[in-house]
Amino acid sequence: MYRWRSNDPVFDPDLRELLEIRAALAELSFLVKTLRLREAVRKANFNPHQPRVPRNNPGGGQWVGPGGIAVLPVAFRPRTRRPRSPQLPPWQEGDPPRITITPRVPEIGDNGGPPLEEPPPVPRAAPPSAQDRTQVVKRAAGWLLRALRAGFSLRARLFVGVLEGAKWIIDVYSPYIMAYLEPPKTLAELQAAVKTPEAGTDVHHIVEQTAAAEAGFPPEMIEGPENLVRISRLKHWEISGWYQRPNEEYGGLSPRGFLKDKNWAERQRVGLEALVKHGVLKP
Amino acid sequence: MKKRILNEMRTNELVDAYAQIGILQYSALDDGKISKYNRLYDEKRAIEEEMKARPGDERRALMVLYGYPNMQVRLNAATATLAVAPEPARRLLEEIYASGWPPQAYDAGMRLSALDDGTFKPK
Repeated sequence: MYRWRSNDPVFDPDLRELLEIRAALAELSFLVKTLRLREAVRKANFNPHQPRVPRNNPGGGQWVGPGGIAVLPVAFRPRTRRPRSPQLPPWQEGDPPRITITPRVPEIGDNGGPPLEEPPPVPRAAPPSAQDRTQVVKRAAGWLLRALRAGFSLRARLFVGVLEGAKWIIDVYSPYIMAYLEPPKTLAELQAAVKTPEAGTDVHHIVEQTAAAEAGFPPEMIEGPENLVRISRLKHWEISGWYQRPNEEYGGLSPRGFLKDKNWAERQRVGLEALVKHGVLKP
Repeated sequence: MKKRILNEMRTNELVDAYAQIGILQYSALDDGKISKYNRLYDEKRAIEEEMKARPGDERRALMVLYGYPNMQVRLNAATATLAVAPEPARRLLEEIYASGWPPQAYDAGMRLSALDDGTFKPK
Protein backbone atom coordinates (compact mmCIF):
# COMPACT_ATOMS: atom_id res chain seq x y z
CA MET A 1 0.00 0.00 0.00
CA TYR A 2 1.24 3.49 -0.80
CA ARG A 3 2.30 5.42 2.29
CA TRP A 4 2.11 9.16 1.88
CA ARG A 5 4.98 11.27 3.16
CA SER A 6 4.65 15.05 3.09
CA ASN A 7 8.15 15.42 1.64
CA ASP A 8 7.64 12.84 -1.08
CA PRO A 9 8.94 14.48 -4.26
CA VAL A 10 6.62 12.45 -6.49
CA PHE A 11 3.63 13.12 -4.34
CA ASP A 12 0.44 13.65 -6.33
CA PRO A 13 -2.02 16.15 -4.75
CA ASP A 14 -4.98 14.17 -6.14
CA LEU A 15 -3.69 11.07 -4.39
CA ARG A 16 -3.46 12.96 -1.13
CA GLU A 17 -7.05 14.11 -1.51
CA LEU A 18 -8.09 10.53 -2.26
CA LEU A 19 -6.39 9.26 0.90
CA GLU A 20 -8.10 11.94 3.00
CA ILE A 21 -11.42 11.05 1.44
CA ARG A 22 -10.90 7.36 2.10
CA ALA A 23 -10.66 8.05 5.83
CA ALA A 24 -13.84 10.12 5.67
CA LEU A 25 -15.60 7.34 3.73
CA ALA A 26 -14.68 4.75 6.37
CA GLU A 27 -16.30 6.98 8.96
CA LEU A 28 -19.42 7.40 6.81
CA SER A 29 -19.63 3.66 6.17
CA PHE A 30 -19.66 3.00 9.91
CA LEU A 31 -22.41 5.58 10.37
CA VAL A 32 -24.54 4.03 7.59
CA LYS A 33 -24.21 0.56 9.10
CA THR A 34 -25.30 1.87 12.50
CA LEU A 35 -28.31 3.62 10.97
CA ARG A 36 -29.33 0.48 9.06
CA LEU A 37 -29.15 -1.58 12.23
CA ARG A 38 -31.31 0.95 14.07
CA GLU A 39 -33.86 0.94 11.24
CA ALA A 40 -34.00 -2.87 11.24
CA VAL A 41 -34.69 -2.87 14.98
CA ARG A 42 -37.42 -0.27 14.56
CA LYS A 43 -39.10 -2.29 11.86
CA ALA A 44 -38.98 -5.49 13.89
CA ASN A 45 -42.52 -4.85 15.20
CA PHE A 46 -43.91 -4.70 11.68
CA ASN A 47 -46.76 -7.21 11.13
CA PRO A 48 -47.86 -7.62 7.50
CA HIS A 49 -51.01 -9.50 8.66
CA GLN A 50 -52.29 -6.64 10.80
CA PRO A 51 -55.89 -5.94 9.65
CA ARG A 52 -56.69 -2.81 7.60
CA VAL A 53 -59.89 -0.83 7.03
CA PRO A 54 -61.56 -2.31 3.91
CA ARG A 55 -61.56 -0.40 0.62
CA ASN A 56 -64.45 2.09 -0.01
CA ASN A 57 -64.84 2.75 3.72
CA PRO A 58 -63.75 5.93 5.49
CA GLY A 59 -60.05 5.54 6.20
CA GLY A 60 -59.83 2.65 3.70
CA GLY A 61 -56.40 1.06 3.68
CA GLN A 62 -55.40 2.33 7.14
CA TRP A 63 -54.02 -0.13 9.66
CA VAL A 64 -56.51 -1.18 12.35
CA GLY A 65 -55.32 -1.33 15.94
CA PRO A 66 -56.42 -3.67 18.73
CA GLY A 67 -60.22 -3.76 19.09
CA GLY A 68 -60.81 -2.86 15.46
CA ILE A 69 -60.09 0.88 15.94
CA ALA A 70 -58.42 2.69 13.07
CA VAL A 71 -54.92 3.74 14.07
CA LEU A 72 -55.45 7.17 12.55
CA PRO A 73 -58.36 9.19 13.98
CA VAL A 74 -61.44 9.50 11.73
CA ALA A 75 -61.15 13.28 11.87
CA PHE A 76 -57.67 13.14 10.36
CA ARG A 77 -57.24 15.59 7.54
CA PRO A 78 -54.11 15.94 5.50
CA ARG A 79 -52.38 19.28 6.04
CA THR A 80 -53.01 21.81 3.35
CA ARG A 81 -50.11 23.94 2.20
CA ARG A 82 -50.36 27.64 1.60
CA PRO A 83 -49.74 28.63 -2.00
CA ARG A 84 -46.03 29.34 -2.41
CA SER A 85 -43.33 29.23 -5.01
CA PRO A 86 -43.47 26.10 -7.16
CA GLN A 87 -42.01 22.94 -5.70
CA LEU A 88 -40.87 19.76 -7.31
CA PRO A 89 -42.64 16.47 -6.59
CA PRO A 90 -40.79 14.24 -4.10
CA TRP A 91 -37.78 12.55 -5.60
CA GLN A 92 -38.21 8.80 -6.20
CA GLU A 93 -35.86 5.94 -6.91
CA GLY A 94 -35.05 5.96 -10.61
CA ASP A 95 -35.62 9.72 -11.05
CA PRO A 96 -32.66 11.61 -12.48
CA PRO A 97 -30.35 13.15 -9.85
CA ARG A 98 -31.48 16.57 -8.71
CA ILE A 99 -28.10 17.96 -7.77
CA THR A 100 -25.55 17.78 -10.54
CA ILE A 101 -22.27 19.62 -10.55
CA THR A 102 -19.94 20.59 -13.32
CA PRO A 103 -16.22 20.63 -12.48
CA ARG A 104 -14.75 24.03 -13.27
CA VAL A 105 -11.78 24.53 -15.53
CA PRO A 106 -9.13 26.09 -13.24
CA GLU A 107 -8.76 29.84 -13.70
CA ILE A 108 -6.40 32.50 -12.44
CA GLY A 109 -7.30 33.14 -8.82
CA ASP A 110 -8.49 29.62 -8.11
CA ASN A 111 -6.91 28.11 -4.99
CA GLY A 112 -6.36 31.69 -3.81
CA GLY A 113 -8.44 31.08 -0.71
CA PRO A 114 -7.61 29.38 2.55
CA PRO A 115 -7.70 25.57 2.78
CA LEU A 116 -11.13 24.09 2.21
CA GLU A 117 -12.74 23.36 5.53
CA GLU A 118 -14.60 20.15 6.34
CA PRO A 119 -18.06 19.96 4.76
CA PRO A 120 -20.91 21.07 7.00
CA PRO A 121 -22.99 18.45 8.82
CA VAL A 122 -26.11 17.33 6.96
CA PRO A 123 -28.78 15.75 9.20
CA ARG A 124 -30.66 12.90 7.51
CA ALA A 125 -33.91 14.03 9.13
CA ALA A 126 -35.15 17.56 8.48
CA PRO A 127 -34.54 19.93 11.41
CA PRO A 128 -37.84 20.98 12.99
CA SER A 129 -37.66 24.71 12.26
CA ALA A 130 -37.58 26.31 8.81
CA GLN A 131 -34.72 28.53 9.96
CA ASP A 132 -32.58 25.53 10.87
CA ARG A 133 -33.42 23.80 7.60
CA THR A 134 -32.43 26.77 5.48
CA GLN A 135 -29.28 27.16 7.58
CA VAL A 136 -28.22 23.63 6.66
CA VAL A 137 -28.98 24.31 3.00
CA LYS A 138 -27.12 27.65 2.95
CA ARG A 139 -24.03 26.06 4.48
CA ALA A 140 -24.18 23.11 2.11
CA ALA A 141 -24.56 25.31 -0.98
CA GLY A 142 -21.79 27.66 0.18
CA TRP A 143 -19.42 24.77 0.85
CA LEU A 144 -20.17 23.21 -2.55
CA LEU A 145 -19.47 26.49 -4.31
CA ARG A 146 -16.19 26.93 -2.43
CA ALA A 147 -15.16 23.34 -3.15
CA LEU A 148 -15.83 23.77 -6.86
CA ARG A 149 -14.06 27.14 -6.96
CA ALA A 150 -11.03 25.60 -5.25
CA GLY A 151 -10.98 22.69 -7.70
CA PHE A 152 -12.02 19.95 -5.24
CA SER A 153 -14.52 18.39 -7.62
CA LEU A 154 -14.10 14.90 -6.17
CA ARG A 155 -14.96 16.13 -2.69
CA ALA A 156 -17.85 18.09 -4.14
CA ARG A 157 -19.23 14.96 -5.80
CA LEU A 158 -18.90 12.99 -2.56
CA PHE A 159 -20.69 15.74 -0.69
CA VAL A 160 -23.52 15.62 -3.23
CA GLY A 161 -23.78 11.92 -2.32
CA VAL A 162 -24.18 12.91 1.33
CA LEU A 163 -26.89 15.43 0.37
CA GLU A 164 -28.71 12.74 -1.60
CA GLY A 165 -28.91 10.73 1.62
CA ALA A 166 -30.99 13.53 3.15
CA LYS A 167 -34.28 13.15 1.27
CA TRP A 168 -35.72 16.33 2.78
CA ILE A 169 -33.01 18.33 1.01
CA ILE A 170 -33.44 16.58 -2.32
CA ASP A 171 -37.25 16.86 -2.23
CA VAL A 172 -37.49 20.53 -1.31
CA TYR A 173 -34.14 22.28 -1.37
CA SER A 174 -32.23 20.82 -4.31
CA PRO A 175 -33.50 23.66 -6.58
CA TYR A 176 -32.08 26.18 -4.09
CA ILE A 177 -28.67 24.58 -4.39
CA MET A 178 -28.78 24.20 -8.16
CA ALA A 179 -29.86 27.83 -8.63
CA TYR A 180 -27.05 28.94 -6.29
CA LEU A 181 -24.43 27.14 -8.36
CA GLU A 182 -25.59 28.62 -11.66
CA PRO A 183 -23.09 30.81 -13.50
CA PRO A 184 -23.79 34.53 -13.98
CA LYS A 185 -26.31 35.59 -16.64
CA THR A 186 -26.97 38.74 -18.64
CA LEU A 187 -29.34 41.38 -17.33
CA ALA A 188 -31.79 40.61 -20.17
CA GLU A 189 -31.83 36.92 -19.19
CA LEU A 190 -32.42 37.70 -15.51
CA GLN A 191 -35.20 40.17 -16.36
CA ALA A 192 -36.90 37.82 -18.83
CA ALA A 193 -36.95 35.04 -16.22
CA VAL A 194 -39.14 37.11 -13.88
CA LYS A 195 -42.29 35.93 -15.69
CA THR A 196 -41.44 32.25 -15.14
CA PRO A 197 -41.69 31.12 -11.53
CA GLU A 198 -39.00 28.60 -10.71
CA ALA A 199 -38.34 26.66 -7.54
CA GLY A 200 -35.33 27.87 -5.57
CA THR A 201 -35.44 31.38 -7.03
CA ASP A 202 -36.94 34.74 -6.05
CA VAL A 203 -37.83 37.94 -7.83
CA HIS A 204 -35.21 40.43 -6.69
CA HIS A 205 -35.50 44.23 -6.84
CA ILE A 206 -32.33 45.81 -8.20
CA VAL A 207 -33.20 48.99 -6.31
CA GLU A 208 -34.26 47.75 -2.88
CA GLN A 209 -38.04 47.61 -2.66
CA THR A 210 -38.81 48.74 0.90
CA ALA A 211 -36.08 51.38 1.05
CA ALA A 212 -37.21 52.83 -2.30
CA ALA A 213 -40.85 52.95 -1.17
CA GLU A 214 -39.83 54.68 2.07
CA ALA A 215 -37.88 57.24 0.04
CA GLY A 216 -41.02 58.03 -1.96
CA PHE A 217 -40.18 56.45 -5.32
CA PRO A 218 -43.37 55.54 -7.24
CA PRO A 219 -44.50 51.88 -7.38
CA GLU A 220 -44.23 51.97 -11.22
CA MET A 221 -40.47 52.37 -10.85
CA ILE A 222 -40.03 49.93 -7.97
CA GLU A 223 -42.14 47.20 -9.56
CA GLY A 224 -41.23 48.09 -13.14
CA PRO A 225 -39.77 45.37 -15.37
CA GLU A 226 -36.40 47.13 -15.51
CA ASN A 227 -36.04 46.86 -11.72
CA LEU A 228 -36.93 43.18 -11.44
CA VAL A 229 -34.72 40.13 -11.96
CA ARG A 230 -35.15 36.48 -11.07
CA ILE A 231 -32.18 35.13 -9.10
CA SER A 232 -31.25 32.27 -6.81
CA ARG A 233 -33.09 32.56 -3.51
CA LEU A 234 -29.90 31.92 -1.54
CA LYS A 235 -28.10 34.68 -3.48
CA HIS A 236 -31.10 36.93 -2.86
CA TRP A 237 -30.65 36.37 0.88
CA GLU A 238 -26.91 36.97 0.65
CA ILE A 239 -27.40 40.27 -1.16
CA SER A 240 -30.06 41.32 1.38
CA GLY A 241 -27.55 40.49 4.13
CA TRP A 242 -24.87 42.56 2.41
CA TYR A 243 -27.22 45.57 2.29
CA GLN A 244 -27.56 45.37 6.08
CA ARG A 245 -23.87 45.10 7.03
CA PRO A 246 -21.76 48.20 7.70
CA ASN A 247 -18.61 48.48 5.66
CA GLU A 248 -15.68 50.74 5.11
CA GLU A 249 -16.47 51.88 1.57
CA TYR A 250 -19.65 53.50 2.85
CA GLY A 251 -17.93 55.22 5.76
CA GLY A 252 -18.97 52.58 8.29
CA LEU A 253 -22.61 52.68 7.19
CA SER A 254 -24.50 49.78 5.70
CA PRO A 255 -25.22 50.11 1.96
CA ARG A 256 -28.88 50.52 2.92
CA GLY A 257 -28.01 53.38 5.27
CA PHE A 258 -25.65 54.95 2.75
CA LEU A 259 -28.27 54.90 -0.03
CA LYS A 260 -31.03 56.35 2.14
CA ASP A 261 -30.77 59.85 0.67
CA LYS A 262 -29.46 58.86 -2.77
CA ASN A 263 -31.27 59.18 -6.09
CA TRP A 264 -32.61 56.31 -8.19
CA ALA A 265 -29.57 56.17 -10.49
CA GLU A 266 -27.14 55.75 -7.59
CA ARG A 267 -29.31 53.06 -5.99
CA GLN A 268 -29.51 51.28 -9.33
CA ARG A 269 -25.75 51.47 -9.84
CA VAL A 270 -25.09 49.91 -6.44
CA GLY A 271 -27.82 47.31 -6.98
CA LEU A 272 -26.35 46.20 -10.31
CA GLU A 273 -22.82 46.17 -8.91
CA ALA A 274 -24.01 43.95 -6.04
CA LEU A 275 -25.47 41.50 -8.56
CA VAL A 276 -22.19 41.40 -10.48
CA LYS A 277 -20.00 40.95 -7.44
CA HIS A 278 -22.28 38.24 -6.01
CA GLY A 279 -21.82 36.22 -9.18
CA VAL A 280 -25.38 36.60 -10.45
CA LEU A 281 -24.98 39.13 -13.25
CA LYS A 282 -22.33 39.01 -15.96
CA PRO A 283 -20.00 42.02 -15.73
CA MET B 1 -14.33 46.53 23.97
CA LYS B 2 -13.80 49.62 26.11
CA LYS B 3 -11.36 52.27 24.93
CA ARG B 4 -9.59 52.25 28.29
CA ILE B 5 -8.86 48.55 27.90
CA LEU B 6 -7.64 49.02 24.33
CA ASN B 7 -5.29 51.77 25.49
CA GLU B 8 -3.62 49.34 27.84
CA MET B 9 -3.16 46.53 25.33
CA ARG B 10 0.12 45.82 23.58
CA THR B 11 0.23 45.77 19.80
CA ASN B 12 0.40 41.99 19.54
CA GLU B 13 -2.56 41.70 21.90
CA LEU B 14 -4.55 44.05 19.71
CA VAL B 15 -3.65 41.97 16.65
CA ASP B 16 -4.79 38.80 18.43
CA ALA B 17 -8.05 40.43 19.50
CA TYR B 18 -8.53 41.68 15.94
CA ALA B 19 -8.15 38.16 14.57
CA GLN B 20 -10.58 36.76 17.14
CA ILE B 21 -13.18 39.34 16.14
CA GLY B 22 -12.79 38.32 12.48
CA ILE B 23 -13.34 34.67 13.39
CA LEU B 24 -16.48 35.56 15.34
CA GLN B 25 -17.70 37.68 12.42
CA TYR B 26 -17.18 34.73 10.07
CA SER B 27 -19.29 32.51 12.35
CA ALA B 28 -21.95 35.20 12.72
CA LEU B 29 -22.28 35.42 8.93
CA ASP B 30 -22.34 31.64 8.67
CA ASP B 31 -25.17 31.55 11.22
CA GLY B 32 -27.01 34.42 9.50
CA LYS B 33 -26.69 36.61 12.63
CA ILE B 34 -26.34 40.04 11.01
CA SER B 35 -26.82 42.08 14.19
CA LYS B 36 -24.08 40.11 15.96
CA TYR B 37 -21.80 40.70 12.96
CA ASN B 38 -22.56 44.42 13.14
CA ARG B 39 -21.74 44.63 16.86
CA LEU B 40 -18.43 42.93 16.16
CA TYR B 41 -17.81 45.39 13.33
CA ASP B 42 -17.90 48.23 15.86
CA GLU B 43 -15.37 46.39 18.04
CA LYS B 44 -13.14 45.84 15.02
CA ARG B 45 -13.29 49.54 14.15
CA ALA B 46 -12.39 50.46 17.73
CA ILE B 47 -9.19 48.41 17.51
CA GLU B 48 -8.32 49.95 14.15
CA GLU B 49 -8.82 53.46 15.58
CA GLU B 50 -6.65 52.62 18.59
CA MET B 51 -3.84 51.32 16.37
CA LYS B 52 -4.12 54.27 14.00
CA ALA B 53 -3.84 56.72 16.90
CA ARG B 54 -0.60 55.21 18.19
CA PRO B 55 2.74 56.74 17.14
CA GLY B 56 3.68 55.66 13.63
CA ASP B 57 0.23 54.24 12.90
CA GLU B 58 0.41 50.64 14.11
CA ARG B 59 -2.19 49.33 11.65
CA ARG B 60 0.71 48.02 9.57
CA ALA B 61 1.05 45.29 12.24
CA LEU B 62 -2.20 43.82 10.96
CA MET B 63 -0.36 42.72 7.81
CA VAL B 64 0.72 39.61 9.73
CA LEU B 65 -2.87 38.46 9.33
CA TYR B 66 -2.69 38.44 5.51
CA GLY B 67 -2.05 34.70 5.53
CA TYR B 68 -4.53 33.86 8.28
CA PRO B 69 -6.61 30.76 7.50
CA ASN B 70 -9.93 32.48 8.19
CA MET B 71 -11.20 34.45 5.20
CA GLN B 72 -12.97 37.16 7.22
CA VAL B 73 -9.76 37.85 9.17
CA ARG B 74 -7.88 38.24 5.88
CA LEU B 75 -10.56 40.52 4.47
CA ASN B 76 -10.55 42.70 7.59
CA ALA B 77 -6.74 42.90 7.64
CA ALA B 78 -6.58 43.85 3.95
CA THR B 79 -9.20 46.56 4.38
CA ALA B 80 -7.65 47.97 7.54
CA THR B 81 -4.21 48.30 5.95
CA LEU B 82 -5.30 49.92 2.66
CA ALA B 83 -4.27 53.33 3.98
CA VAL B 84 -0.83 52.25 5.22
CA ALA B 85 0.14 49.57 2.68
CA PRO B 86 -2.09 50.22 -0.35
CA GLU B 87 -0.45 47.87 -2.86
CA PRO B 88 -0.20 44.63 -0.83
CA ALA B 89 -3.59 45.32 0.74
CA ARG B 90 -5.20 45.73 -2.66
CA ARG B 91 -3.49 42.59 -3.95
CA LEU B 92 -4.97 40.64 -1.07
CA LEU B 93 -8.44 42.05 -1.75
CA GLU B 94 -8.06 40.97 -5.38
CA GLU B 95 -7.02 37.48 -4.26
CA ILE B 96 -10.02 37.20 -1.95
CA TYR B 97 -12.37 38.36 -4.70
CA ALA B 98 -10.83 35.96 -7.22
CA SER B 99 -11.20 33.05 -4.79
CA GLY B 100 -15.00 33.38 -5.04
CA TRP B 101 -15.27 32.48 -1.35
CA PRO B 102 -18.77 33.56 -0.31
CA PRO B 103 -19.58 35.95 1.23
CA GLN B 104 -16.14 37.49 1.88
CA ALA B 105 -15.25 37.40 -1.83
CA TYR B 106 -18.37 39.44 -2.61
CA ASP B 107 -17.44 42.03 0.02
CA ALA B 108 -13.93 42.24 -1.39
CA GLY B 109 -15.36 42.73 -4.88
CA MET B 110 -17.60 45.59 -3.79
CA ARG B 111 -14.66 47.18 -1.95
CA LEU B 112 -12.47 47.02 -5.05
CA SER B 113 -15.24 48.62 -7.12
CA ALA B 114 -15.53 51.44 -4.60
CA LEU B 115 -11.75 51.95 -4.67
CA ASP B 116 -11.75 52.02 -8.47
CA ASP B 117 -14.59 54.50 -8.85
CA GLY B 118 -13.11 56.73 -6.13
CA THR B 119 -16.06 56.52 -3.73
CA PHE B 120 -13.84 54.79 -1.15
CA LYS B 121 -10.73 56.64 -0.04
CA PRO B 122 -9.02 54.72 2.77
CA LYS B 123 -7.88 56.91 5.66
